[in-house]
Amino acid sequence: MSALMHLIYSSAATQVFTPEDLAALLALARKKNAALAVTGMLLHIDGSFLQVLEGEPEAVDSLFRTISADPRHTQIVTIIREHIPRRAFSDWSMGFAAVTPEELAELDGANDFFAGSTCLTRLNSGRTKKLLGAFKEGRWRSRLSIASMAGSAARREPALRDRPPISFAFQPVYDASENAIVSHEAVVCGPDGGPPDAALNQYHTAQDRARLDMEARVLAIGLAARLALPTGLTLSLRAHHADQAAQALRSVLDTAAQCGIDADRITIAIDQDQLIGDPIAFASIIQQYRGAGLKICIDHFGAGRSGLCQVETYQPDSIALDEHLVRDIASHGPRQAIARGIIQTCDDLGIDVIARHVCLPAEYDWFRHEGVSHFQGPLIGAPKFEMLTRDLPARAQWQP
Amino acid sequence: MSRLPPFTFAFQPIVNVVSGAIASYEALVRGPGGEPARQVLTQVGPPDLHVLDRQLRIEAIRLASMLGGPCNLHLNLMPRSLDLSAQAIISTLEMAERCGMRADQITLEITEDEIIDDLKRFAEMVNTHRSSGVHFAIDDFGAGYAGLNLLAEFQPDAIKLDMSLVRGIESRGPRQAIVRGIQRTCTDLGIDVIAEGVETEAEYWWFRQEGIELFQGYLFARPELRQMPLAFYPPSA
Repeated sequence: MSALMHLIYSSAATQVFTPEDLAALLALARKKNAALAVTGMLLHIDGSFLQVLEGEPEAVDSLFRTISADPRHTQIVTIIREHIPRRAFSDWSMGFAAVTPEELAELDGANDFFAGSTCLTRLNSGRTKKLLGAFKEGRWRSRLSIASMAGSAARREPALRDRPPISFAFQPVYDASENAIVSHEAVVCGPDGGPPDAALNQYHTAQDRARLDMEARVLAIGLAARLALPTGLTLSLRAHHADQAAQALRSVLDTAAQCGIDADRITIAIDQDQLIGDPIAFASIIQQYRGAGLKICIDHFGAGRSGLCQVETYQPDSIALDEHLVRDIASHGPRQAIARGIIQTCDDLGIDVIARHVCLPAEYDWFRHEGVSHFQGPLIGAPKFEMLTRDLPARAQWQP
Repeated sequence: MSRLPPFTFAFQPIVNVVSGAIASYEALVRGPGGEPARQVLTQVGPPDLHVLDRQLRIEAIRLASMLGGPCNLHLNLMPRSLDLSAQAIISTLEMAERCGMRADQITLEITEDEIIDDLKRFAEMVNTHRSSGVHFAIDDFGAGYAGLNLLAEFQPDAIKLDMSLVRGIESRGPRQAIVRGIQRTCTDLGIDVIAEGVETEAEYWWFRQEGIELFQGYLFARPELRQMPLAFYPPSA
């Protein structure tokens, strides 16, 4: 797979751009971008710019350095720089739209922001992702051809060994804003649905445990495929070494392809408390596989090593709040303040926040009120042995 | 008791840009000729480090009171010293009193990474001293792993944002989002946020725009050996 990334920045013009100026600017950009195989789009509103550059990392970075040095704009803020599985603007050496705030306000997902006629330089990544999503889905649908998702591989399940030593229960992840079960987390258990301890204790050496850990995700994907999983699948990854993580993610991608599950339906929940060695090397492996389509979640966020600075390192798709932050949040001031800070940062960056281990209606209500929409825990649904949850949680029981 | 290496202090102001006043001076340990702090601290082995740590605060207060009239002081504290004895804080406060300073003029700074190992115990230890009025600040906030988590167990009076979060903030989207999240939490908990290591006007303006009032860094004043320097205030954007 050749690495792709996109870089999105905003800036403010230092001079007045006439339509002729913009046309000249674009003509030059398109010529340059075609040579570098960089695609993307440029938005212009009232003297502020938002530009998406996508392509190979070296090409994008070097182009961005040139762009940054251009004296015709200032206040250049890098909003997003991350690996992507595929180009969103593959047909455009540089798509362009000069729009008014009123036009933008008509876009789903962007209207809450642009109704206030705010300029592009005040955009954060969350808004940007919404904005681009709206463009891709709506405004430019007729003009954009998004590469069809790979998935032609014949559906077949990997050969399961006769009697695997472990099996899985699946716990639902609920999205309140869509009122739907959006994913299931595979929770390891014994072959009969009991605790996995007896099975795990048979593995004495670190090497054996590492092998089991690797096989576990393969088994979970196979089982989910046999159950005709209609949602996403969340798999945990407790990494000790960066190279181990690379091997694990490779096996996840391969198995998913064999089972006919698209990579972007799989979320890897990273638990990094036992990480040994260079965290930067680990993060770069994670980023690389994120580029291959896997979604990344930082697990146990707000505990141990998982703090805010990691959203810059990993740029995850979601974070799962640690149990101790969720517990009794409705009556715990400092936890509320911390959760609000985390939610604020994640909103700015377009990262979903998942409240895990939600047990009480009061906990659910507090997070819902703060704008959190993803929930997991006993209140939503317990893990079910070798079964998926099809019913929505009985919301009426706790909703005021 | 073993002999301690020679040392002195440089002082750097922490400014409140809204009131235009110097809120406090941080005492930074230096060798007698202005050598960096590391050079002093590495001359002492672990058993004597807490002795040095305690002596540093006492001497910083003595020097500060000789140099200038009444002012507030930020002093560093190694949390290991707390484990060894409550004297670490008591001796500091006694010296302050002898120099005519109140306990609430003293802020003790502890780095995030040093606290996190035994957070609950640390919080208990520190909270027993709070009744004296002495303030606590977390230094280098955001540099380590813990970040906001720490604030669930222990709410300091102030945090100092680590330089790695401050540098070039005006052009880094994710960093801006992280700082806004930290600020949101601190506002809710009544914790002051100090932007430390601010070197450019662009950094300063970004923080000003976000409502930060307390600053420390070369843009305002460099640390000066055995002096209490005045601060420069940048024009507002």
